[in-house]
Amino acid sequence: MKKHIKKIKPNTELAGPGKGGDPKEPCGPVA
Amino acid sequence: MKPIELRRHNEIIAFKAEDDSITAYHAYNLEVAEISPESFAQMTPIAITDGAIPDVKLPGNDEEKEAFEALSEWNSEVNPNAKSGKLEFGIRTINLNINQICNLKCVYCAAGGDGTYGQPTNKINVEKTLPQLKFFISSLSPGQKFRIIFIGGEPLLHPEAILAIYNYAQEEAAIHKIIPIMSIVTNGTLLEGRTLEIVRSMKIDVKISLDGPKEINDIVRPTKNNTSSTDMTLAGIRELNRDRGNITSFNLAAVCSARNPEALKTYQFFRSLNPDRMEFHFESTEKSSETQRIYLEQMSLIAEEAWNNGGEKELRKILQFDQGFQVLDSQTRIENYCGAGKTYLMVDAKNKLYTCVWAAGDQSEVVGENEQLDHDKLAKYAKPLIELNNCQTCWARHACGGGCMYINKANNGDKHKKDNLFCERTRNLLLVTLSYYKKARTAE
Repeated sequence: MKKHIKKIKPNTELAGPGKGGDPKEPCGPVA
Repeated sequence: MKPIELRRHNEIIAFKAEDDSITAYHAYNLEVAEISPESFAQMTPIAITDGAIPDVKLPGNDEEKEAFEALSEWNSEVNPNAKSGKLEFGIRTINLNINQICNLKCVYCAAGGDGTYGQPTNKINVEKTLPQLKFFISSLSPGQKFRIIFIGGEPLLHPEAILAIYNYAQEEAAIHKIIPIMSIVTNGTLLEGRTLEIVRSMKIDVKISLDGPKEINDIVRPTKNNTSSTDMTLAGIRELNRDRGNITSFNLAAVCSARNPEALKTYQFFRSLNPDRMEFHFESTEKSSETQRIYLEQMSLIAEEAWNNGGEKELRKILQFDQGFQVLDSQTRIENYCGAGKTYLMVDAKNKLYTCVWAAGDQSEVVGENEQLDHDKLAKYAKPLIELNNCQTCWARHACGGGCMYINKANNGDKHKKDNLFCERTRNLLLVTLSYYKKARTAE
């Protein structure tokens, strides 16, 4: 059977602020 | 890389790039994938303006059924790694208007047209501000971050006030074991002498507003006497670059508009100034879809050039693309475009509190003063913005967070009435980001 979906792995080690400025607030998505 | 032919199957969208590669994105699971042309063919074509879920296209023969089943299966999967980005109440970011006066008069100024918000105020009262900071900082739990963004007006008209507040916030944060993060948004025209010395002495992110080379910037960002401001800003940047002192980053932010459509040129100019990060915002009250089309085209060219200049690292120096990478790598479903009234408040130069940086001076938007919060008014902001703004079916919702209430109100008269241009812009920028995200993570 053909593989129709090939998921790409995120790089969770690169996630999160801290590379220089953290621009998330006040304007921009925030969690 | 210009995304074309957008299609959707429930929570999954997919698009073809010019090279025919197909990128797919699961809007709830925050997953990116490459999908087969057969599965792509089973999806329903949609417009970029469309946030509703289209009808499912039913498959015909066995081959089509198999490609369709693969999509349906992925659609109903739950990604155990994707977390909720729900925000609990707790103010951890504030904007602080150091003053409400400015030495420039930018044509698009959202602070009342002249930096005053309609209420010129020479300098914030430092004695009143310190207990207000103590109130916010002492409300947090040890280990949490507290962010202060100094703004105005032009905050560097009063550098000593910034330093006094900065020092106090550092001390208070240390007492309560809070991590302080400070930034300043300035036009950069006053970065000399004692003012520059103060800026260099602080651990602070410096964001300088600049809209491009002199021939553009002078038109959109003149002084209040209508003379050139660019040479002063560039002299300030040169000085800061000569010795950055303790500053934690140097960033440049541009506003793109009908008067200033050539964002790629601005990007190239910015690179010559060596910033850590760059921002290219679309003028928030612009209503022309043609101006937006040009902006999006330019942003796509910027992404391409940044990628060619240095791959992911260079691309992520640009805020508009880094945001998407952050969401996808952190696997956090964004529920709020900003923390307005939940985690964020604006403090004006009279120590009144608002939920948005651009609401200062609007008495109907006051949600507190000094150390008093009006919890009844703040309760209206408690729900996630994607819910308040009815974004439940939009495929970009968990990367966007529901959009900007200021833009909604400015363009449609209602904080919760979505601005179509904003939605289209956000989705377009996300598509560009997704194609580079796939490229970056496939190469690893």
